[in-house]
Amino acid sequence: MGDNSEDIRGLKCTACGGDLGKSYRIEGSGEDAEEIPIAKCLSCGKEYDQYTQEYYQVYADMFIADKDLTVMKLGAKGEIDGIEYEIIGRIRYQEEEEYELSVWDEWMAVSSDGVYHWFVEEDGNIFSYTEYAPEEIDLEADRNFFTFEGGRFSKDETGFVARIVYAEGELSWEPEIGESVQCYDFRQRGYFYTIEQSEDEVSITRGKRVPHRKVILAFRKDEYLEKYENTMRKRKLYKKKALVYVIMMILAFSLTVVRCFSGHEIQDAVDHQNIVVLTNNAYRVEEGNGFYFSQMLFPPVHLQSSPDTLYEMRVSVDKGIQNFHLEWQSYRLMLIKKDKIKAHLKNRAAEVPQEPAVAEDASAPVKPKEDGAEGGLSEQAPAQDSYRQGGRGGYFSLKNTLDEVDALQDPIESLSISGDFWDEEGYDDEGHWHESTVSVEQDFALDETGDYYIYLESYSQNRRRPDSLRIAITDNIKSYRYFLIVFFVFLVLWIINQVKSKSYNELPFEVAAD
Amino acid sequence: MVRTILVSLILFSSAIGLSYYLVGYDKGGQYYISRQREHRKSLRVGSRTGVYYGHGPYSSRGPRFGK
Repeated sequence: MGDNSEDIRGLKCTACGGDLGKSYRIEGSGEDAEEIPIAKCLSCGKEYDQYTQEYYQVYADMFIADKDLTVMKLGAKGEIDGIEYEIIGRIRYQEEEEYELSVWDEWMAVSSDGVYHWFVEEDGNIFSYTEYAPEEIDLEADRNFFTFEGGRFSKDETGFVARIVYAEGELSWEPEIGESVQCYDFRQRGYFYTIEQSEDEVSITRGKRVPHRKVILAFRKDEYLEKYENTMRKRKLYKKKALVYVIMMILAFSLTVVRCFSGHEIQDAVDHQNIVVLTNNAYRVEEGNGFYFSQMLFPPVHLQSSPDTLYEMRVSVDKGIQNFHLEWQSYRLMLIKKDKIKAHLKNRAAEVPQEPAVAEDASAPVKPKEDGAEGGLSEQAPAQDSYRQGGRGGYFSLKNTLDEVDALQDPIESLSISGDFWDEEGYDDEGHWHESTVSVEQDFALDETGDYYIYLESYSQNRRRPDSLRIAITDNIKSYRYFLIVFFVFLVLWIINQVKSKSYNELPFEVAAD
Repeated sequence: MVRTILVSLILFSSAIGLSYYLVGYDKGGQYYISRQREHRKSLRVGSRTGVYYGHGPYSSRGPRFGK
């Protein structure tokens, strides 16, 4: 309950005769808590909510704050469709269910032929109503429905209670502030109908929407016609702009989709059978943390797409070879041009001719060393002669070169990419969770076609089989990220212009599209 | 309206241009090599170049080797 009560002189409590003031009460709790305005007796604390007449008397000033911001005004005269009208009275209603402002004005007009009309201003629309005598109506046909000229209407869906919050001019009765009336609004055969039902009377009116232009021309031409025309012209312009942006959105989205599905995997591009394992799960400690380190060299892959297209490198854990559970593994992959590694090894051999040989016979496959040893080769060590180009010391030359690949002043690799795999589990408020990343994709571009060795370094928490990593290459991928970005830019511009095409307004009152 | 069409075309052309020149993508070859060459000039003697390994448990420790 609020304490910021404001004394409203002249309004008395029906229970104790004390003064009434504005207050509020809290409904709901936590994030759903809402302050509901109420009227409250300053003496006995009795509450008056929006279902009481006193509430509307206490809050009268709130309901009429914008009462002059209307198209119609009392005393205005004008002609619509050849009939002259004069506005002689007005009633402002508030919907009872809403405790926020939800008002509409009903202007009573008398026409040159002596008939009473009601012009209703509501949510930027204007309707012209006249009394109507239906051929058939039964408001008590059913507890939840009523019938009207062959139609059956739900009382829940069409009904609401309206409260009078303001009245002025010459009306056919004397309304009271807070007085309630049961209404039913519905449409049938192109007409809007309103049934107002009180204890002893039912009144039915039928109407049609009247464009703002007609009303302004009839009643407020000098004041508002120019602003109205400007408003409509601007709205039309915003609508055209929105159309341009929607066309561009469609174009950008189409290109995004088309390019998103571009590219095709180069089948058998990477030879997984003939991997040269230079280091196999050697245990290392860095900065106090231990990990297993492996180095692998894959046979050359031929990359031949034109330089302006993208490749995608997908490195993944093959769980079929070795399971990956609650652990991590990082990798670094380098593409090294075949010619470059050959040239480098040749130079190195010339510089360091005394390097010891590992294999007695350079042409024979070298047996793998024990697990964890530096310099082991895979069981299927191929007759890859390229790393032996340096002669008997070629193997060590290659390994030493790759060990120091980061420190070479003139890089031998053409590209370096890296990624991480992980598998974790735990508990949160939804229970057990288990998440993992076992595949990493990365796009890259190359400016030279040719044969590239794939050199792979693995850093892992546990021992990992060197052949448990799979590499796939897709070429001819088209970039789509920028089309996606401009799609969203166009979307924002479209939303802004679409909103403005409906809401732009130079007039002091709300105007819906005519 | 002319301005709107112009803005749209500029935006769209930008997307085409950025896509064509593969702006923001990893570029291998000469671009990578010259960048690495510059980078390695500043390495301390005896150190290894700083290698960044993404954001995984191992790599989250940041650069392995300071320069």
